[in-house]
Amino acid sequence: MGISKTDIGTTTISIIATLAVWELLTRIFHIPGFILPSPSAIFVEAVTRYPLYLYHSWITFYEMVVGFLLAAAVGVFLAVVIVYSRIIRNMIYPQIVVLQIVPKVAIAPLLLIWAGYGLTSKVLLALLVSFFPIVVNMVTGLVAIEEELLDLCRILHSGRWQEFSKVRLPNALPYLFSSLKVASTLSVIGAVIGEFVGGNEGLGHLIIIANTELRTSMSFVSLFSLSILGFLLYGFVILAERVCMPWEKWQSASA
Amino acid sequence: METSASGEEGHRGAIEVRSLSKVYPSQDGPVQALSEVSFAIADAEFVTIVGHSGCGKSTLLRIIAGLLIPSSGSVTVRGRGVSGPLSDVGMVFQRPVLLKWRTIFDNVMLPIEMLHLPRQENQERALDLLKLAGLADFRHHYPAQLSGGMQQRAAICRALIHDPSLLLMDEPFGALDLMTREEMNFELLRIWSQRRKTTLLVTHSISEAVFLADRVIVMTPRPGMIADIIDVKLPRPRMPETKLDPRFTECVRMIGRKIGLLYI
Repeated sequence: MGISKTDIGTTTISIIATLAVWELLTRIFHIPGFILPSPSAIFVEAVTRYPLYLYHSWITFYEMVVGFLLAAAVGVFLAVVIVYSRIIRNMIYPQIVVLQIVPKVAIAPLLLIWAGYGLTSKVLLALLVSFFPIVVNMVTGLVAIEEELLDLCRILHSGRWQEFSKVRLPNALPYLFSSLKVASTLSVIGAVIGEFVGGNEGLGHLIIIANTELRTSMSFVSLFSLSILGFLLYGFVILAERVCMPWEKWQSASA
Repeated sequence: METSASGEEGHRGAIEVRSLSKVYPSQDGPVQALSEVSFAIADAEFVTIVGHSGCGKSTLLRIIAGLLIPSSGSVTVRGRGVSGPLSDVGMVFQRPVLLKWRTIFDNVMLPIEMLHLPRQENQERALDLLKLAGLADFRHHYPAQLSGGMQQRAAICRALIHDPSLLLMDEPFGALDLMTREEMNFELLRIWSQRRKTTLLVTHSISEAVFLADRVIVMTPRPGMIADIIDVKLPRPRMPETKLDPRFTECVRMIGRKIGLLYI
């Protein structure tokens, strides 16, 4: 999928149009700022108090990135263990699924009790929210090997390690990266849930304050900052995918 | 250990299959895939197995490669009984199954890495093989950049890189279009004439079986049994004109009759 200049043009024009209509509506109907601030008011809020937003964005970004990286490590590790050990699979897979079914928002207060009001509880929540798709996809990628390839491995007397490192692991990479994309967006949610429930830092915390003080433009700046952070992490994943799988562009071209 | 006297000639390096049977368990009771199959292949001989799908051709090949354990009977390769996967075998499947994340060259080198053979001298071998298969210019390409026929040629190079004494091919050209398939037949014979491996190739195309082989093993389905083994007395190298030779058409017709194709 190539991105052309027209693509970028269409997107830019539509964003500008949306903002313009929004600005006009708030002015024509005299909508009070605490209900729906105009884009210009939001912009002024962002520019005048940017050190505040930068600081809290950094906190949230730190939580989600660390949570995401831990989720990737834990997810890949669990997937490998699940694929290679039947006993461990039977022991932990059902529990992982149960953990996934429990709403994370409901676990958040508990995590705060266990891990405190600092960054750790938020990192843990980001991890909890985002690791599940990584486990599931990684397991699929490690198992979805053509039968003939496994035959070939047996003929070539490859040990388990060679079969893993030369066949299963690279085969799982596309599956891993598609789950990492999902996880990167989920980790934002996890970090914000944590900040909602307790603590005094991060964009989630700012949104709570803005709400109690009816400073809606502050809410909006926090929201926009959150989407920028999510977008950044997502972008990093795409970049890593391109670097790790240079063959993929040919793959999609032929498929 | 089995002796390697293979009836008539008793060449070393031969495959010897003795009263091989294979029964698969299934939901509707056991299915007999192979029944009392016996034959021998001489060193450097090119033998094809032809038959309907479901006649146990692939099962037979997998047993010879040591990938499947027979229900009864035995297989000897180069005088030694087969009891597990044989690294002395090069295997080509219907699909190329190249590793899509490796370049063609690295794909061909895979067996060298897995068998822990010295890399340096085998790099030259890999290049020679790729040249022989007409793929030298594509060695830095990824499989997805190559056509199906080229991918299958690369798979043949991969099967030959560790210099196995046996080349086993399971319907290697079955997934290719007819024109590419004919081309591949010549390519394969050209490579074979250079490398002279004992080759056993499974196909369901009678004309392909006759065109390639010194001998054709004709099998009947359910249970898979040998109907006949036919000597192909056609001169090598085989040319496009070979298919016009009356001996060729006669051979094809005879095998068709054995398999039960009444219209031939």
